[in-house]
Amino acid sequence: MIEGGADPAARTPTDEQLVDAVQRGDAAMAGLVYDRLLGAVDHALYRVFGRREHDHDDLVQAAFEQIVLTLSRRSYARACSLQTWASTIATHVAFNALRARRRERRVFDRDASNISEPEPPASADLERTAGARAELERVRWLLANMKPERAETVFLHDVLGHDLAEIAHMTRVSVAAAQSRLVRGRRELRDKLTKEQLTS
Amino acid sequence: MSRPEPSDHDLLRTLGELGKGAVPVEDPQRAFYRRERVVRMVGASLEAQAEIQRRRTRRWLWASAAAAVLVAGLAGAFVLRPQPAAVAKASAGETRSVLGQVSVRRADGATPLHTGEVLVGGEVVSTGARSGVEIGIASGHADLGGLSELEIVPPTANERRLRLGTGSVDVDLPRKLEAGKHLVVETPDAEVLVVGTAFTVEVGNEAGVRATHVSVRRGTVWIMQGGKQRAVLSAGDDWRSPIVTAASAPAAPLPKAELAAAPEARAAGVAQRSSVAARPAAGSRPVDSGTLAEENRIFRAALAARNAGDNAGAADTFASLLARYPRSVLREQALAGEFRALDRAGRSSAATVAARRYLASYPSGFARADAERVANRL
Repeated sequence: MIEGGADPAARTPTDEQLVDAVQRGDAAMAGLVYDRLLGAVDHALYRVFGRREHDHDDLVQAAFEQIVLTLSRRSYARACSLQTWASTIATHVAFNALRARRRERRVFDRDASNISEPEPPASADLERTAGARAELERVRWLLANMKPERAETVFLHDVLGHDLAEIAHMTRVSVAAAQSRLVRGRRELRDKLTKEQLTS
Repeated sequence: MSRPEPSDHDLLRTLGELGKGAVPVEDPQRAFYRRERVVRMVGASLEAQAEIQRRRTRRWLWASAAAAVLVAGLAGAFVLRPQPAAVAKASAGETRSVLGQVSVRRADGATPLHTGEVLVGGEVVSTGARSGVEIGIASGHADLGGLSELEIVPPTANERRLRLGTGSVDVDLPRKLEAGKHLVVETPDAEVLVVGTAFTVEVGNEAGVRATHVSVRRGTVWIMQGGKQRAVLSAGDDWRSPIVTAASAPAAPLPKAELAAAPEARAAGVAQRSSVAARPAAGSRPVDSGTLAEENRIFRAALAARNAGDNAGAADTFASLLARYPRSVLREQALAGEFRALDRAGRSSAATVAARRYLASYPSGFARADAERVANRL
């Protein structure tokens, strides 16, 4: 039961209360859960794809399904904020989707205009902004080709700005393991970028 | 032309760029519709979670109750050895063994019946084809045969009562009951009074009319109809109920929804019984025409409940049809009707289970699209 009060801030449930309500199966809290976590989910999805894709709504729903599932199963250890947890799950969902598209493209080469591997800049006279955008697209693409745990650790640390201890909590590994994933992930990404540039 | 190898600094700068830039504001209408959709999904997931917790609590309570009864039984057996009857008073019966598909229907719905489960009275036990259950009652036991339905009536100080709706039950009371106490097996058209014996009661469904057959192996039983003694049977005797009119036949245990079924459905049932009852009874029993009429009657009752807006009742009635007649020709329609009614009644998790059961039996059935939608919703 979430107690009411005259002060609107007092009526807003805390993360703890929200998590308790989800674990109780309180369906009346569905709207509050969504409103509290949408920002984090939307932000993470946007950062992974660089835009809102045609299936953005489906990805938001998939992320919320995972969030509710993990909260219900008490996988969330309450060691980080609920938003951070949601952001991690959304990142995971987004990278899974990105990898699925890569696999689909291998088999069907379908919808290539939306999901194709970004073309490397053909010549030096491309506009600077277009070149920078293409560079970012390539990094996203290469991240999707990496080992999932490494790519997600690099993304959570270097793109979304979470610290190692937080990432270790969220991905349920030790801090040393998270650091190892980060270092190896960066190295793998740099190697892939180098290989790309050598072949272009 | 190749470019120089990126340094660590370049890499971190590029990754940092991915996290920069404002996230554009969404189209409000699209955001609104998505919110509706996702909130509905989250709500359904939370409801399913609550249902799971309720089931766990119920299971825990049942386990606690069973443990308490066991402890009380052991304590009673030890402390009150001269009065063993005191233990039997604790419950209306207990499940001793279960074979095949056996379910028990209580006020909160139907669940599979397990060995050791205590019956307090008010439950309806149903068995599927080639299934059976042994229920410990009073000083003996009752074995319910396949495709049968037995209501355990809450016991009183002097009477234990079992109401056989359909199928057969074999009762064995090795010890005579105490003076003034008796066990009654009630069928739609007769009552069998027992004080200590072994016998079998069957309720057949012949051309839409319920008929009772009693055979006694040991001891003596009384057959009562309309409160009057019709026969006294001894070991080796058989008795079959004469054809009775619908008005004099007590109703078989039925779900509430069936009792509230559309008048035309009930009228059809009565007309059917009456027409058969009008036949001459001279030593001839109507030829068994199967159970289709009864299946149709229950199915019509479920449809009537659904059309009256009683989705929970409709779901229970479809479930009752499936429990009584697992091989019914109306099975596919009943399975589809069940998950749709559960879905409309807002019982999402039960609807999901029922939809999956439909898909398992009829992967290309007429309600496949609906079933897939309900089965995959969570």
